[in-house]
Amino acid sequence: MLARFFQKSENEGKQPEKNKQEKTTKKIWAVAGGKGGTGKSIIASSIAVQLARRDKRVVIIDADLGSGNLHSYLGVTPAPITLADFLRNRTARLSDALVVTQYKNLYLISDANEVLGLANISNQLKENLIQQIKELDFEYIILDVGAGTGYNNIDFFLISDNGLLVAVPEPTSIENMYRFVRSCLNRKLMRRFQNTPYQPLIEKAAYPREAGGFRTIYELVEKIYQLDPPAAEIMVDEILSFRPRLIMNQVRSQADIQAGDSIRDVTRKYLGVNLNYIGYVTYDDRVKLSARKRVPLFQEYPNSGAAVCIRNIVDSFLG
Amino acid sequence: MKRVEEMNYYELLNVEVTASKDEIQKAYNLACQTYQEDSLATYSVVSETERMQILQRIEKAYRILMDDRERAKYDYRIGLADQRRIQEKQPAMMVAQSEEMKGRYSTSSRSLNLSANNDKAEEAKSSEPPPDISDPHYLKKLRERKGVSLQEISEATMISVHALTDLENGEYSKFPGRVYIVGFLRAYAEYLGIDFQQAKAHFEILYGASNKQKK
Repeated sequence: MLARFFQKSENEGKQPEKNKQEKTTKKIWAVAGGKGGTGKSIIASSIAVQLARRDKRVVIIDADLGSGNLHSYLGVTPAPITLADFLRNRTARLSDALVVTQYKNLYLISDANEVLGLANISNQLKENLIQQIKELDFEYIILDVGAGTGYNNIDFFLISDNGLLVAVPEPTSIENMYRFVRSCLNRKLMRRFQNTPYQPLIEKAAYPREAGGFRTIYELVEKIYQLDPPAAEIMVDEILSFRPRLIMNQVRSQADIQAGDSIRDVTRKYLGVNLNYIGYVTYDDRVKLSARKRVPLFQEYPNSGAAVCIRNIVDSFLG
Repeated sequence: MKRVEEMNYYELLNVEVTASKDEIQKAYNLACQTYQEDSLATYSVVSETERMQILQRIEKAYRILMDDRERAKYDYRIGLADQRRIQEKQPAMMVAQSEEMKGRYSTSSRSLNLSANNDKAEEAKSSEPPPDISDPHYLKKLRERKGVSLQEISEATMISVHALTDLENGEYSKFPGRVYIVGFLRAYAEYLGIDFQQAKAHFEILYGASNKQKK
């Protein structure tokens, strides 16, 4: 029936997140968080450091195009070649921008914010960047993704094997996180159903308040099911394969910690997304102190509460 | 994938159908936290109306699941005792059933694994003669001969372990009525691979005896 539309979209350039062959040897982790002070970059850099300390070959990339800070958190002087050079075609290979850090196994690709407007790159350039990211020769590739729900952030998040969302126990942070999750899901579905008759319906689902919109994802799926059950099945598969993970940062109480479980429940029930709550990081003054000194947290305060929490999170992945 | 309104009480509280009262209590406590007024987790996603609605359902779920009899009645009502009934009732959303989805989203859609016990039936052949249907521990003895645990039956039939225990112990007064006992018995017998008519005959004997005692 209409299944031929799906044949077409599957062959037309594989969706980035579906490259399962690459998952076995190398892992891409993306770290995203709402704007303003969730601590996403510190957590991303600390995760990278901890992986390196566990003898993994790691590269961390500042994918916060136009506003990256990773070099500061890692205490690396601004690199001679950065992501900006690659994007401006001053260097053809992304790997030219690799920079060593004080940790033997850890490399950085930074985005020293030298050029305005870098946040708005063309689709072609972005696809090229994504491809080269995947080709980097490392066991772990950590992407520090920008805040907000711009397509770049979402696309970087969607190419990861492990998408980590950092939130703090504050209403605005939680609201941003839900927005991000919704946008990611919508984008994922849009890409899967590109060039099919259902594309307009999915577009509509991005605007629940508009007339004729879908209040929830379930309504969208039900609508598609009425038109084409196999298509609905594909859609449900896509939804279920979206499994972001939540880290609650700057927690100060049991209630803050438990908020993560609550968020997981709400996300499942009301957004239809299977969010995993993988851990929390306690509020710790020493995080700010180390950042101010421009020294990695693990180096300056390796036994601080925050460092211990992050170690636990990383170790739980390494098994 | 299920709408909140379509979730059964177990799914609503995120507990297994075999959950203990302790687990249900914990789940209820968390759910109350999650959906309380001014909750962080519901901000911007759950409307006030939705919040009140889910709280009402959570209260009801708690009340029902913490009461043995009510829970047994409910389990039967939602078809946990009879797998065929579950498959007939499937709403449109359950069409796309991947294995992951079964495990993660819906406790009521696991398929009956009838093949599990066949191997065990061969392994556990004991030299003792099979129990007589008048034996009060008829069911339990048969089950043990096959080397099957109550947990296993519970997971396959989605009848709670305590209900199965009561069934095996002939604690029929704990059930809301004959029809429930027979329903559970059928599922039990089917899974275990024993003759349902025999099992029913055994029940009739014990049920009759216990009724005589009451008179």
